[in-house]
Amino acid sequence: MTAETFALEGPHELSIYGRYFSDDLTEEDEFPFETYGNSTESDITSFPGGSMRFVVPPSATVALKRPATFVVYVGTPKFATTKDMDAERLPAHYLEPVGHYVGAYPTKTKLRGYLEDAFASQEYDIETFPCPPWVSIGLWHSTHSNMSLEREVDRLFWAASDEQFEVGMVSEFAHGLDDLLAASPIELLHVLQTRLDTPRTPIEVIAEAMHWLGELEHETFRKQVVSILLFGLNHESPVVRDAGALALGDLEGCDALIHLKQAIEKENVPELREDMEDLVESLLS
Amino acid sequence: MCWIVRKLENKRNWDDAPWLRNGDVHSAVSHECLRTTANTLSVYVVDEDDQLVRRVLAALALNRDNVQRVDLAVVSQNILPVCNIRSHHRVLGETPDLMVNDWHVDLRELSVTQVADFAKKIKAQGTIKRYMKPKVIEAITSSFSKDWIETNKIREPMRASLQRNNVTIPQKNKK
Repeated sequence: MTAETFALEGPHELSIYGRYFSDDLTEEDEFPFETYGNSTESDITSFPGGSMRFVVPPSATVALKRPATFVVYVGTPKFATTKDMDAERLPAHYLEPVGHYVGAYPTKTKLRGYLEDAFASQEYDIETFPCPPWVSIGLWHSTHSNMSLEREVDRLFWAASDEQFEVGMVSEFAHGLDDLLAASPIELLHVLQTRLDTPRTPIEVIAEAMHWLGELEHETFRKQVVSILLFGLNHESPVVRDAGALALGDLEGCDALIHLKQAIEKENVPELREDMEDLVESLLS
Repeated sequence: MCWIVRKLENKRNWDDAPWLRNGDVHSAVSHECLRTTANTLSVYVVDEDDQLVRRVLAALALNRDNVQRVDLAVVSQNILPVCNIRSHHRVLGETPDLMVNDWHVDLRELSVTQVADFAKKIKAQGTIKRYMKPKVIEAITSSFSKDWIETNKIREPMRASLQRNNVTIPQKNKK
């Protein structure tokens, strides 16, 4: 989502927590948000590790002053402590309630839409939330950033590690990759290939990247896309190998078939090998 | 007797692995494939008939953003009392197929033990099946042709995906 145009009007208090990918964003005057429509000053708190809390007064409108990436949680601040806001601890600490809440909705995109609609219609009631009211409503980022592409990709991967992916649903991660692809496709695929090979990248994120690559329909990138998918097909995790195979299947074509048949030969998980065989059969039918 | 049908997020979590004891399942199953919301698990209960499973498959597939493969677990309803799962309630589903929505059941008040037992029973006695994209499209087309789908409930991303896959959405329901 392009942040420059985003504004959220809340009849209730809204807390925005962010971890920023720039080294110089710890000063309050560099905080990338501002509010309109309420004379009460917004409460900005910095936490170790670069996280910040930004409490938006009721009925204020939030807007982004300049490019940034941040994660938004909606709720009352009483649940948070300074300790909780340590940048490394935040996603894990709130993963479970976030997961539960998101689980009730197919995607974060839908959830975001729901919350935005609720705010807009003034019907939002924090008490109705079926879990502790800490809800990640996704990643907002700017496509006009002057930060390097590597950093943009890093930001996406960081946010994706906190995302629950659903088969057949377009993830926030995929939306972000789409944005970057539109700006610089060849460079993105190059950066992506390097980034996927980073040891700490969660396998679910690598698998989601594979699915995203399988949906690309640009013939001009095909060679590069196939090359990344081959990385997936040879990955140590069966989950990634599976995703790589399915993405190759989505691409179709003779080259995909050849690679899939080679993968079947060396696949050592019987169930995955059977699924790959079914995939090849479905491509040939 | 009936079958329980459950959509799975990741079939790989049901594979055998050298580190798993006999009959055990990956712990990832609990947060990906059998992830509860408020201690509740959403399933569909149908008569023992493959056609009905395919109808559920089409309905679930149409609830997505794009046409993709669908992984399903199918197991006899008999396993519920064995797993000590006694609280189940019919709650209207949210797919574009009204009949499938009637088959939706919430398994409630689930403990970790019950979910684990449920997973093990699925693996031991049920079927974990992947329907590749062509089969999914076939099921969707069949549901369309039988006028089972409320086409106005299909979301825009799925409409575009169906179009990309050369599937024609009926203009309007005959009913």
